[in-house]
Amino acid sequence: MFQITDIPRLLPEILLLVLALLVLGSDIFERWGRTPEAQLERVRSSASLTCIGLGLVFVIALLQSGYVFRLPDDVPANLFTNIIRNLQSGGPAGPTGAETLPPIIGAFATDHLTMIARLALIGAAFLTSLLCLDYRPNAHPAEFYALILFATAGMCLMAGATELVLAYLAVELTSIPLYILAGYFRNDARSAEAGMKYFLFGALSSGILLYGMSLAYGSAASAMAGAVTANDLTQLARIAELAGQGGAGGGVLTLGMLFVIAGVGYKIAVVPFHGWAPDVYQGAPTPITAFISTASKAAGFVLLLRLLVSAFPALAGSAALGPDLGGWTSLLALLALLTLLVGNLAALPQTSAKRLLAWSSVAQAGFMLLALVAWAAPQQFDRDQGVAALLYYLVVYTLTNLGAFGALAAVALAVGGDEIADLNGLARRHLPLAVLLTLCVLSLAGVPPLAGFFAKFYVFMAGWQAGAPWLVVVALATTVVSLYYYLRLLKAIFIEPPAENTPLTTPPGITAAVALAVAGIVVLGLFPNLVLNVFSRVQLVAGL
Amino acid sequence: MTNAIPLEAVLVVAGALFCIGLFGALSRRNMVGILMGVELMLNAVNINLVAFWRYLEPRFITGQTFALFVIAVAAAEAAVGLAMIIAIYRSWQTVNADSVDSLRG
Amino acid sequence: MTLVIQLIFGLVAALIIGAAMMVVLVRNVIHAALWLIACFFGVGALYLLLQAEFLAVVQVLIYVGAISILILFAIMLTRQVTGEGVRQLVGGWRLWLTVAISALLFAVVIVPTVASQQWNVPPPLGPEGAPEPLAGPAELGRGFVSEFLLQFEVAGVLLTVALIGAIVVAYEERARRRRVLTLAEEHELRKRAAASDQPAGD
Repeated sequence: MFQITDIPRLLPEILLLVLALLVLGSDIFERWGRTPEAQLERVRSSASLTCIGLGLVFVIALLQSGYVFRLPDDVPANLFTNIIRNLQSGGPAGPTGAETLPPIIGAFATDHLTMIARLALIGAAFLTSLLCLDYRPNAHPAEFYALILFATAGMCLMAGATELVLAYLAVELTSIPLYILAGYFRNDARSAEAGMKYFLFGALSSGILLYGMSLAYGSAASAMAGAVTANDLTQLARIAELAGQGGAGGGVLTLGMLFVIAGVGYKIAVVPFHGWAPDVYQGAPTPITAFISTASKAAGFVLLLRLLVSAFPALAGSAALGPDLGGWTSLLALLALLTLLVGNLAALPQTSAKRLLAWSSVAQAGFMLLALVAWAAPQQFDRDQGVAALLYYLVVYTLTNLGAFGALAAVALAVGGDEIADLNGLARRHLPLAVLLTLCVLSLAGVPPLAGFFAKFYVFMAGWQAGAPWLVVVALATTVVSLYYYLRLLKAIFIEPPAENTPLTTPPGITAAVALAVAGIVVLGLFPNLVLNVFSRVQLVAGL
Repeated sequence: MTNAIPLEAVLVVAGALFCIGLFGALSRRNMVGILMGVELMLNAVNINLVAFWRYLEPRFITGQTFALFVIAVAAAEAAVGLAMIIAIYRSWQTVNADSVDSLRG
Repeated sequence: MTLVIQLIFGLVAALIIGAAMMVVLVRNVIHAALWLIACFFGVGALYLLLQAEFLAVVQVLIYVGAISILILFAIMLTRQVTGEGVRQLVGGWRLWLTVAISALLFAVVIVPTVASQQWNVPPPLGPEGAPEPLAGPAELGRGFVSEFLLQFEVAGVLLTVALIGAIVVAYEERARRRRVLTLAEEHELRKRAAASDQPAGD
């Protein structure tokens, strides 16, 4: 049952919701003038409140996690240390610092996986709101930032959901604000079209996801053991436990799993559920594209990991070409193969830099699926390494894509378009931005010593251990192919002559966000163990 | 009721409704028509959930609760989607999904 | 008695499937919305058969009373004057591909899986003469504040977000808001525009 001590465990989500209401309230309860300066001040007020608030929430979440420091037990008790102690007792390590508490009402787990995902998602939201700070002015600024905050809260809930109903509600809480944000600039034809396409695809896929969830619930309810409490049958662990007793009845559970993979597969934009991604990524406002392509995809991957590992562990199978071939690991291996091929090949002929990055995001999802396939490895150590590799890749990919799309946003604001031709001669017009964009692109391509190289390396190792060397070989081949189109971007930046030789002015907010992202990539590349130690604390056991 | 109608019959009805809704969502060109297909799919899911509740575990309220949440979210999604459709109509005077399809490649 | 129940179930199922087929096939989108209402009523009747009375009432209230009315409003506000002649379904091979996908999904995937599963349907409990203890609205209410508390709160946040979002999407500044023309006025406008073009074009 829900206890009062469970509230600190939900603190990041509660803080995000309170911040969203604050942003809305600060806009409503104040009279804004009609002059352009007053409108600009209105936008600035919501944006800066969001950025500062998200920074604070990130710091509080970091404090709660105990990854930086944990309050020792023998510190004298005063108000300050009591607050920190209560805060950290709601964190992943629990009140004693050793064991993880069971999920809240059996629905929301606050373990290390959730905490790491929360930090990554709140960081991504912070960088996005920095990017939006100086982007084009929009009609209703407070609602814009409040929707970003609501979506972030939904993503944090997605990362920790261990129950079907909460998983579905979290997916919808993430998606609905993102539909609206993608179509926010109504007068821009591409933005409205992006919002509409995102909504139609998303509604269809949530229907498919729900059908799979209903079949999973049915196969769990069909077991002889029966339920203990009302929310028993929709908990992922119980589904694995109960449906496993069914014996002659794996059919419905497998069908449910297929529908669930299809439904979540749309969220992470893997082939063949990727149809919406290039159009929506290209049409949406660039900071929102950065947000959707990174944070939403990361939350989707964590949800997929939890669903498959906790609810369908018996169907895991193996991706190795051998007697064990089958199950969801081999299905994910097939999807990874398709995604790598289609994503990389479709990016080759692109002339729009934004669309090229969109297709490259689709291809990157293929690499992340390779890390999920690692669950087929026989040893638990290899599986944990696979999860750590996935998390590392997600964090690196988030930072890199935010930086790349942010740099594109700066160029689009200054030059007016987002074709590759608009990047011509960027090195001569604005060297710092060109260097930052270059580092992001090189990290996406997987060039050492940037973090992208280590991310791909760990993922390939995980795939190898899983016994799927054929997939690793394909991934290596497509990495070489992707170098071609990434180098095309670099060629435009450094070699092509610019259209005009005037220096570019970029807004400080966007430059700051891109610089932060690139700093993160460089640090994570030089010192990967900084975060890998934390990621290896995640211990996902099959059926939990 | 459980003696007269086998569970499979209700599930087949729900499955048929789901497939008809899927067909409607994929093949209608009017955006409101696509949304109607999605609503059919969500109703099929609800029938599934209530049938599983009634036949397999009627002492606990799980299935009905899940169905109730689905109804609530469907209402919210329909509201947002129809608002977007109306906004698009105001600018482009069309609700044909093929006309609002300029992004290519 | 069993035969009566089977007959009623058959009629309700026929209503649901028939109305759903009409929704996706009918040309006129207003007719499609009306068939959708019929389908929702059918689903509500099925809930009554399954002894989920509260859910049946909620189905009628929300799906028929709110969502269908919202859909009809949206259709009315997005009327295309020349739109009745436009094709309502995708053309050519895409249509047959969709038909094939849906039909195969139903016949080959869903029906065999569902029919061949060993459903352990427990026999009706309860002592002789007394109905089995079914969970009802009381347990529903209790569940919302105990076992499903977190989901309940998240659903509340979701509805608030949808409300804010829908208003933001559909809002128009007063200066830009123009009156929605009726069909007759639009026809009149077009006729006049065509008539005024004619003499210049000759």
